[in-house]
Amino acid sequence: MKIYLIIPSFNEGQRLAKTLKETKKFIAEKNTIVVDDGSRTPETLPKGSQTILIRHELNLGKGEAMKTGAKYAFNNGANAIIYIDADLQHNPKYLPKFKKLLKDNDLVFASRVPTLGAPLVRLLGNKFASIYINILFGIYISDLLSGYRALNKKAYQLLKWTSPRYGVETEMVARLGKYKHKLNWVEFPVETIYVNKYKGVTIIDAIKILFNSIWWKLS
Amino acid sequence: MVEAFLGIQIISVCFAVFMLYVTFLHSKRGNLNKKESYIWNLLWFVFIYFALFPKVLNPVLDQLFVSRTMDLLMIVAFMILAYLGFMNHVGIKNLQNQIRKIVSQKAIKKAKRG
Repeated sequence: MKIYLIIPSFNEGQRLAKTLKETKKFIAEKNTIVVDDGSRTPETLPKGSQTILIRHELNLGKGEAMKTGAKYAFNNGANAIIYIDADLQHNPKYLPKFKKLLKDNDLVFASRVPTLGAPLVRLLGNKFASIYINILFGIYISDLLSGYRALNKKAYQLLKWTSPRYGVETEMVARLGKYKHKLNWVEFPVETIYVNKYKGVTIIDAIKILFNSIWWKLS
Repeated sequence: MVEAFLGIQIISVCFAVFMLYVTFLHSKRGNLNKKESYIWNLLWFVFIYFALFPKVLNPVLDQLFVSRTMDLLMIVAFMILAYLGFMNHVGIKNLQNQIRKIVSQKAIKKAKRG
């Protein structure tokens, strides 16, 4: 099974280099794609690296970066893709587990286990979002907003998301709720590190996602 | 009451003259084509006419059960603004989608190792 690792990145700089250093222990550089989503200072890769670099000239948002990476990977013979954030928020040591679980599942979610260091607003917001999506779509993912996830080609074709920005993770789960009879999925717990409380989904994003989810339900 | 109404008339005419100037500038710069330029000029001239002679609208006001000319003009203005706002929204969405597509396609084409 040919699996590509996709790392959407925006203004990560040195953190991206550290992430790549860790991920190459588990997935070959030649199967790793960095999608630079229009960073102010273009992301660079270590010298001699075999990692594929795709650069958006404009910042289109995480959802679009994920889509561009997926298009490239599947056009180049990938059977499945794994997404990981570029800021080392996700521990790459779980990548082999993804590979193993992808053999029997179309989608794999790595759900962050809440820790004492996690911001309370994030924890409560995440839990509320999980329950809300469960009510609307009949699917419960304990960490809805985690970007550490994997999917195969079949799942990508069914779930093709339209959210250009942070709504992408929620939309993916919402669409999975609609196709749950066609797709197998699994989630497993992972440890997490909260690197920057000002990054990620903001309250404004969350409100937009809440409204969009009603549209995903109706469409 | 009469003075206030005259004040509004003066402001309305000044605003319309300013908008005629803006229309002229953009038509000279090529931002508006001939047809658009004619429509906008016509709109502002009609606006000036109604601002100076509001009584010509009295028969229409009676038909529509609107008490004052200003009320009618406000209703029409809001309708035009709503239309323009909606068209702007659609236009921007369309442009965003095209930009997304172009940027993504270009990025994939230029993908490189290392």
